[in-house]
Amino acid sequence: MPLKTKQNLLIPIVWFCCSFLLNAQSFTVNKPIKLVLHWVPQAQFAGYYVALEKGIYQKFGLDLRIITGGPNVSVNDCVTSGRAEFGTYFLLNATKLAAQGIPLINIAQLSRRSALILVAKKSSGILKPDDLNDRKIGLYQEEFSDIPLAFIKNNSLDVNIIPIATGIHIFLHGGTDVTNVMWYNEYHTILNCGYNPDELTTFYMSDYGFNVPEDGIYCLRSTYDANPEVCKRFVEATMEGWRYAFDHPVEALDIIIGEMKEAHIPANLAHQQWMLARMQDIILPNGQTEFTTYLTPDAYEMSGKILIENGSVKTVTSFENFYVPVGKYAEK
Amino acid sequence: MELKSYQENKATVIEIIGSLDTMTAPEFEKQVTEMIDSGSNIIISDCNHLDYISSSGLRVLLMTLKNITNKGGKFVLFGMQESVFEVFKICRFDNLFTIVADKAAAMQSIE
Amino acid sequence: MLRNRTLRFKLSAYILTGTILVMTVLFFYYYSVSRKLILESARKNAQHLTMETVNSIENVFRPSAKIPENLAFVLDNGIFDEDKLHCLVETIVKKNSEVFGSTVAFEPGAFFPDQQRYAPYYFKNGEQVVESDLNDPAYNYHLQDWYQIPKELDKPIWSEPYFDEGGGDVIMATYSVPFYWPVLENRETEFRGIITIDISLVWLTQVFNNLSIYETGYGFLLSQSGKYLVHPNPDDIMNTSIFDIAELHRDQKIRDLGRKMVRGETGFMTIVDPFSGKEVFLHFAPFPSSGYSMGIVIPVDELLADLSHLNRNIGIIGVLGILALFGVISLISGRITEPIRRLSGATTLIGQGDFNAALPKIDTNDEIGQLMHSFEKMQIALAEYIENLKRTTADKEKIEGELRIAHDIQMSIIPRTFPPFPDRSDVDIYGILESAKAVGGDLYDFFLLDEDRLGAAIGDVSGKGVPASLFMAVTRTLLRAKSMNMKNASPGKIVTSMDIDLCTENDASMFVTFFYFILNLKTGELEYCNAGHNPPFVLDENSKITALDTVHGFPLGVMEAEPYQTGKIMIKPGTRIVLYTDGVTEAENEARELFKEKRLLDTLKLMKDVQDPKEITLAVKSAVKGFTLEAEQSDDLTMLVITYLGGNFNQE
Repeated sequence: MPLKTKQNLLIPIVWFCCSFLLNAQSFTVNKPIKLVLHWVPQAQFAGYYVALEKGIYQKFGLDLRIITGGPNVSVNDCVTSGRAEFGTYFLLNATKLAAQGIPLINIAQLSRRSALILVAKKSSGILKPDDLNDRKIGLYQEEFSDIPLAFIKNNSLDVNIIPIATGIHIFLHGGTDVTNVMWYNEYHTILNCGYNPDELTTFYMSDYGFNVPEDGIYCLRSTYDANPEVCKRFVEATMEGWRYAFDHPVEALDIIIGEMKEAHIPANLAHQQWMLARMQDIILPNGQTEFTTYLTPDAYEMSGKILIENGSVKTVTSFENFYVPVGKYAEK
Repeated sequence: MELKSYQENKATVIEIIGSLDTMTAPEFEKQVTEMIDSGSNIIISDCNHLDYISSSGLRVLLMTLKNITNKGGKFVLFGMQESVFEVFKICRFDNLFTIVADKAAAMQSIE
Repeated sequence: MLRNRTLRFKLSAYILTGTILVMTVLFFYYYSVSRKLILESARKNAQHLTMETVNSIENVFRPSAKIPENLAFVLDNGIFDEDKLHCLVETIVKKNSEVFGSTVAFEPGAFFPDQQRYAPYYFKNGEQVVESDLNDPAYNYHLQDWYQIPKELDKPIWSEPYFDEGGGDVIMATYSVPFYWPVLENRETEFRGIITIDISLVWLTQVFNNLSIYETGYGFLLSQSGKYLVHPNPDDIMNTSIFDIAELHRDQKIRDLGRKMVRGETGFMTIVDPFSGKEVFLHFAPFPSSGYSMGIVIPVDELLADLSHLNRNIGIIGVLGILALFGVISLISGRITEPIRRLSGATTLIGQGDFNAALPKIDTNDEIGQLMHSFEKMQIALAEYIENLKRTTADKEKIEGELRIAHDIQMSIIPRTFPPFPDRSDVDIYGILESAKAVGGDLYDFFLLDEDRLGAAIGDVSGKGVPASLFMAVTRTLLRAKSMNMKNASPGKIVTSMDIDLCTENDASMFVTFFYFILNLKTGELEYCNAGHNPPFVLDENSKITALDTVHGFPLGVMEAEPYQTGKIMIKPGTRIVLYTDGVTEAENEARELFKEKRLLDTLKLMKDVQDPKEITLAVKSAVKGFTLEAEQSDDLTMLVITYLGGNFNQE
């Protein structure tokens, strides 16, 4: 081949190498890192927004950008396509995706307990699981219905499942008898539509053997392998953001409300207040003061078991493949 | 001195109560003069309660006696106390005046 | 404390206190009644306003609801062809001004058996009506509330309000009506789909904005879930629910209010508005058709603002009134008490002796005026009385002056030089005459008839004072005259002669008790005559005491009777003769007891060996004084003691 040919090949090779390097996510600390959240801005993600606003990521040497989530944003698409380095997933969902072959790893398990609740009105006569027989259950989306369905199967209940969109109005109007809600979110919405807790029957999935925690930070294995330091810093900065948010709830709420307004999302202070408080209960349960981001093998196993039993997956990947302890909070 | 008077048959009975002295003599004189002027010229005097008489008293009794006597009447004294009678005796007025023991005697003496 | 204050102060204090009390009671009564009335009226207003607003809004909701309901009736009857369906929907939007958009959304396969979703949708875009549909799988209308809820509930329903798709600030609500097609095989019907109309709720906010609820009152509107659709704070619209507010302010009362409202209750309450922190009245009522609810809020302080204003004014007027009242009362009571004060001043002057002190001029006819007149009369009477008193006193003093002179004259006619015959040693005499008044009726007298004979007399004229003294003077003159004239007559004859003269022209019936003796100093022969007088005592040379108690006749001047007799005794030298009047024996002490003869006798017994007549006299006087003590002297005290010494001839 003449030199020309060699020259012609050089550029593609160089480009390939560069892109490989790029794809390998090798970057200096000043390169922007993106986090994609799995829903619209709300107190559920307080730690991230606060860490960003208070310059904590910056302090840790990270130039972090947050990609706003929402109904039209698929976290998984962003992460797998490389548009975002980090994303927040529910454990169950991530387990399923990992089982389906996506090289996703959990680098920090923030939620320490399940926040999923099946709620019914006492006035409809539902007081215990057996009362659910022949009643209408509104279940929202696949991600949220796995566990309730497992619960139904476990209790041998014969129910009428009504798929619903987000929102509890159909439940409030009596279109469904039971609906699934997150403790930190829709449960409060029900309360603040005028229902007192003593008028509601709640089935906490965590009380019925389905204590699968939700929120966690995930990234592609390749991302971690290329930049474990960045991942470590990201997790630790994030947790520091959460610490600040819990210690300064008024300021944190201010930041969140600001973000919500910017995203043209109705921002309800009372609701966010509740959400932040519940996130604290979830991330630091039982009065804990120290963070743990360690994913327990039991939680992963339960997650896998549910998916296998309901036939979503055949097998799940190994715990070591799924979870990598990152940062100082990942002690057992 | 108090002077009480009432009619008994044809006599006017006057009762002298207290003392007849310089202070009281004018009152006696006035009242009795009125009596005499209005026609009673038969006067019998009850001296049971006449406790004392001075020379002024004697004088006014003397005047009464003269007045009544001039008018042709009668003036009798009765029931006089011992001490008063003594005074009359010294002046010998017991001879001058008609002095009797009691009213009955007085009534009798004027018949 | 109040006792010693001036009338003016007392009047002011009592009247003011009373007035203030009355005013305070009145004020509180009026205030509480007014307040109640105002609040009651406001409550009624709120109620009416609420009802009116509900009615006017229902008058839009209900007719609007009819539109899809009517279409549902139509659709219930069977399958429509596509064109007709589109036409119907388009017409709904075109012909109804309040309808923004409308759809008929079918169950999967209900229209086209192979089509999951079929929902033609027409909406207004400016003047035009645009055709569209809701078939986007991403939208998945089957899971939308406006579809699912009426489907599951089998009844029409108004949706929660939402912002329109255009992204504007237009709040919309959708009314969904389910429709059913009959199942051919049997009589039953099967759910086929939902008919909706979308209407804008902008007019609703306008209605609320146009509500005139006093100045600071406002109305608010809640959705079925309690979310604010209309609220004075724009941030909370479509964002916050009443329960959120309750949670943020930790106010259970507000939460309870929200619960009542979303459950369609009507009511009225007084509550603290968390937005203003003020107490407000709140009347709430539901919109029966849509499940929304509204409340009318009236700040209590605005309601009572006028009342507060009024109170303040009344307070000011009241205070000013009280001050004015105080001033007036002060003035009037001052005016009333002024004459009293002046009168008091004038009477003080009168009391000090200025009887002509000017009394203040009062010409009112009230009690003060009458008092003044009475005082004037009293002043005149007083002045006259004082004048009379002065004159009488002056007269009296004149008389007393004359009496003193008369006294001196009287005393000068009674021998007062003792011893009377210093160069005779055969007789000694001492006498005293102390009159009870300035001039009296007692007398004594003695004189030498000739070388050997002494005449001595003592007498007591009936009565006292000037008449008695005059009579006494006459008697004494007669005695001397007769004695000189009838030089050798016996005492009896002399006394008889005296009596004849005294009886003549004696209209006053005065008489004098009289005792007269003639003593022959050489022989000791004593001749005497007693005309009704106290018998004298004789103390003989052996100190034996006897009384010369023969009385020879009436007192002198009584009447001409028989001639007086003469008594005769012989006395020896050393004999003392004690003449006295009843001023001695009838001397009274304070207990109105009389000295009596016994005491005189006792005193004389003590003196029985005393020759000196002065000593004897003074002893008796002393005894009498010692008896009468402080008692006023009621009668003249007269004594004459003659001591016959005899035998001694004057040495020449």
